[in-house]
Amino acid sequence: MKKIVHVCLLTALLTGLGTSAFANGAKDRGAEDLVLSEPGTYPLVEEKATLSCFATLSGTMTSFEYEENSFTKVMEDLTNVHIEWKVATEADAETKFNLIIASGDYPDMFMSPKKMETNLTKIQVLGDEGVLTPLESYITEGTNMQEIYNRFPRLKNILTLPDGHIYSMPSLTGAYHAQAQAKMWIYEPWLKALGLDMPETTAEFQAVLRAFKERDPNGNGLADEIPLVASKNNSGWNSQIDTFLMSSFIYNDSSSYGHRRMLLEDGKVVVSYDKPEWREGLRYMKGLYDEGLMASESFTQTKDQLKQMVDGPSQPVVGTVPGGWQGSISQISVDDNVRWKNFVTVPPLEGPAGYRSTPYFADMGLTDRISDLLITTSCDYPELAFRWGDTLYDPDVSMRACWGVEGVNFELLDEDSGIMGVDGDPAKFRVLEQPKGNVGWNNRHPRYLYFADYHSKQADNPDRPIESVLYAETHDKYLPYVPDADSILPLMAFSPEAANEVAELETQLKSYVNEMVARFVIGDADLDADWDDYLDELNNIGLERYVELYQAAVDANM
Amino acid sequence: MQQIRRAWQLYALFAIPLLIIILFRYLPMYGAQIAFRDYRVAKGILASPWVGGKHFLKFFRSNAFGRVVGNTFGISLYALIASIPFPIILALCVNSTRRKGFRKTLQMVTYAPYFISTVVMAGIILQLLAPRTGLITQAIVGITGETNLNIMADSSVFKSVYVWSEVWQKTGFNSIIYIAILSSVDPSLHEAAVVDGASLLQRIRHIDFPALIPTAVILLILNCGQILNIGFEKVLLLQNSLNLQSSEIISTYVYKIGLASSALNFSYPSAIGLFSSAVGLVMIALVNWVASRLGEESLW
Amino acid sequence: MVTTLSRKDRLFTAFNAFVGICILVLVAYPLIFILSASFSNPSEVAAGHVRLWPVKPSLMGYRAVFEHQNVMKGFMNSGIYLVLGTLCSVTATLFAAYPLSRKDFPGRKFFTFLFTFTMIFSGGIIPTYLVVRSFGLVDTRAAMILPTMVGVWNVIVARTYFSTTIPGDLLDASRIDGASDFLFFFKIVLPLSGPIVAVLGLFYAVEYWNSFFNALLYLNEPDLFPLQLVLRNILLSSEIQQNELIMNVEEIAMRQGLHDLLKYALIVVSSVPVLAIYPFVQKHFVKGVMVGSLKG
Repeated sequence: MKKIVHVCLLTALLTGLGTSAFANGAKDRGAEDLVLSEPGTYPLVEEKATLSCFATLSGTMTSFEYEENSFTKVMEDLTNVHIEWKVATEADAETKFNLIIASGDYPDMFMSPKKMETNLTKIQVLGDEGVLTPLESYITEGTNMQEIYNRFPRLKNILTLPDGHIYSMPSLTGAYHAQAQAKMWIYEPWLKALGLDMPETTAEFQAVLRAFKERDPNGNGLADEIPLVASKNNSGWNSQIDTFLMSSFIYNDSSSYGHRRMLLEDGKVVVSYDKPEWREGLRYMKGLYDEGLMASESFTQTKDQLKQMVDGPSQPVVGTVPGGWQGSISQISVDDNVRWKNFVTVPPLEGPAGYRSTPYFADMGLTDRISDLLITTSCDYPELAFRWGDTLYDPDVSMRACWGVEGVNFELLDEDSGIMGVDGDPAKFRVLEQPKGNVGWNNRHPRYLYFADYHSKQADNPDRPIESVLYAETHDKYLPYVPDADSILPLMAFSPEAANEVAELETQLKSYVNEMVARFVIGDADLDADWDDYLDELNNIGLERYVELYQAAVDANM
Repeated sequence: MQQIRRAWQLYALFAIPLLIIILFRYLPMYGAQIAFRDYRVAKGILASPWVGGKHFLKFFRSNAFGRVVGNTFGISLYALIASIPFPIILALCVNSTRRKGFRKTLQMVTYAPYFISTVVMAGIILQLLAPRTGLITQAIVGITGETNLNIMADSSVFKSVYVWSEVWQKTGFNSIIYIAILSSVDPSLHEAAVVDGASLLQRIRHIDFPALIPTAVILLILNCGQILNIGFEKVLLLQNSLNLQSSEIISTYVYKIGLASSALNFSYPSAIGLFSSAVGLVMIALVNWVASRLGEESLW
Repeated sequence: MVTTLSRKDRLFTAFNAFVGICILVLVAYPLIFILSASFSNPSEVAAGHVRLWPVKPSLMGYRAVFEHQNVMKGFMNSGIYLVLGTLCSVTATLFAAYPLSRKDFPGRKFFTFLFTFTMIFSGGIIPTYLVVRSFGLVDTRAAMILPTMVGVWNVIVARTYFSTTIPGDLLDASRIDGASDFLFFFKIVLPLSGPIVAVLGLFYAVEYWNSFFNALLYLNEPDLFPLQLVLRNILLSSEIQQNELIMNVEEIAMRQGLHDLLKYALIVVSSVPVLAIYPFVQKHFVKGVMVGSLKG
């Protein structure tokens, strides 16, 4: 009898424990009774305050702590705010973030959660769920963020969600060349060796590939040339086979920001992959494949294997290869590997129907990192947290965080120093020694380093002239062919119900389209006999509904 | 009641593990109801709205359901069957080796691959199967004379690639339990058999092998419970557009949806997980019943 | 000791050895590759020049591993979790498996079902986290050990071992001698369980050494991170940055360089401890453990 009573008590105790465990973990907001300094003045508070923050350990960093990280020290000394760090390793930061949200156990701030860099919908959802605190009331005259708004009113429009609130603090960075990321690289010495001009149309491109294959441009007497090769989906930044080539037929933004292959025509959402032009593009690629100009590895190899193909052989073997930058196609981190230096870009090609475009990241610099600081409802002092984040926008602080200590890691330059910047104009500063280790927060925090002011103004590294090449190639060859900014879908938020549906549809559609691109090109599916089945399957998966949902979101955000 | 009193010492031993199981496995089961609710973070589990089987139906009705469950089942079953004989064979081989040095080396070398992390393992597989330069590809081309062989592009062999690389990696480790059992076999049985004139092979068949069967059966039953739970990492790394028909499994599908999802949908993956578990339970019960019918050691 | 072999036996032994060698070769190649890659110049590895033997031999990788602060901390932490965890787990597993193996244990079937049910169904990651948190175990070393201390799989395997290798007569004999359950277990069963204790020790040691998910869930403090968490971070870092916009070429180059440098050396170094344990475990796989147990 006694035993049974004991067991019951234990069960009751455990159940009680369990129930409390499952109760909501969000705290109530305390009263704001901190006195903050005037915007633009430091320290932010007289008595040392403490905030907790979730951050990601990445790159060469090993610690965020005050004693070990010099930038943490800089910030704490300046603002008089101590940070308790909740750290996740980069590889698993996303899982950790989701877990923290799900458990209701959030810190005061989230700094740059993974995979939320451009996810306005998730911010909306978190705001709706009562996880995030609205910030618009703190963005007053004198704060850095207001200054940013004054300069970029478009940003304010983007960040303000349909419910009128702003929940996130973005970073303004980016790079000029990232506006048009879908580049195709060609090994220039081979063009010269064979006396060929840079191709401008798809037909010319095919002829060049043919020449590469047949005329032994590497001069070793072996037919070992690989005219065109790419890497598989989900491996490699813009180094998939269709990204560049399809753009000569119809708009094809398959980058991670886009991955939607859609355009706006007169305000109507139009997808690309069910159109006759898409089929023509596939036909062209199939032609390349059948002629043996496109290596079969293009659908199955990883980006590392791709780079090995380019760098590995003692004689260059690869003729053309798509990639977002030189580092996508070759190892730039190795000092004695200079093969990448001989690759230049091919301009977007004109297709047989006269179409010529390239995927366009219209709001580069504004929307590539919109959630670099989120303040939660667990925070007792949201305005302090906002001001703390705002501090990071201070140009000196931003510079210190990203470029290091002046005089040690970088130096400022005069107009007449004679050193050229990435954009071809006189450079504003030059990197002396790359900051590494615990001297920053690895760029995962709000920064105000708009690319036109900073990234483009740094002196190029003469040993590794990657940036200036990218700038010039993008400027001269790619930007002339981007579509109208109005036709590009803006960054927008879905309603929570729509978001779930869109997620599942998008995953399946993307998977299927990618799968069929491969199968059509290889010949596993027939472009004539199986095309209708392909269209039917798209509808089965729910293409119509998908477009409907997107249209609704576009209309709501306009 | 008297029996319980008599066995109090056994209960004493059993108490701590039981407590751990209850606290850390059963208590959280309370939260499995996430699958039946529309979990709202701010409300907590108990206050979130109850939606019954909505998430389950969504999964069953989704376009991907058939393919994804079929692939998972297929790969699992294949792996299950393929991985039964090899650890046993290896253990018998090791046990019958006379030279101590060779035996230890064999054990050590086969044990090592288990520790190769998934990322590296996938990288090695892709390297070995690379169309032009992969060693395995070149070997096959040499034997069959086939040109332009791209194994990873062929969705019909994906399952084999996955399963046999698993066998390669895990057999050594999985054979350890069998080696341990063989070492506890009563040597007097062997001595008696030798006296009766039995050959080595006969001794293995009649003494060693039967000693392994109970454990092999139990392991088989236990593995059945995990039938729909293939981890996503290795498959994700080996997937590509051409083999997706065979390589999209439940966990990679859920992973991708989670990635794409802007909404906080914890209930959906939870429901799918519960479904996988339910299927696993059915499988275990089935195989367990068969095993007990055949007179073998069973789980319950 | 068996003396002369018959011809049949000699044939079999030779065949057996042949099979063994085949297995050895098949398994060894990728292992040799990893070892060679770890001793090669990283850029040669990334360029795909390493096939079997090291190319441009160098210790750069290893040096970088030992200089990496978080790697060494991770090593230490993993070591702690391994030692403490294995001790606790093996004990708990034996304490659970033995009663379950006894046919006269009241509620045997019920408890077995109770345990095995948890292998198939679980509350899920989030509820488990909530429970652990309610016990105040977040950011503690205990969180790395307690939640997964009892591996039901191992309990079942141990149970099977007990029920098939401890003869019923032994128990009866000890009863006649007036031994209690405790005595029987500690003084007789355990000493005869060398192999299973060794196997459990190995399984748990490996599990604790490889674990990272618990750390991911329950630890926010980098000082407590186990090695696998750090290892994954380094290994996956080049996969991660694929879709991030290029901010700083030099920084990317540095990251990629670090990744290449550490990758294979790190794999070798992180595997060495668990590989080193094995010979000690092997000692317990000695035949004749049961000899003498049935005498008298």
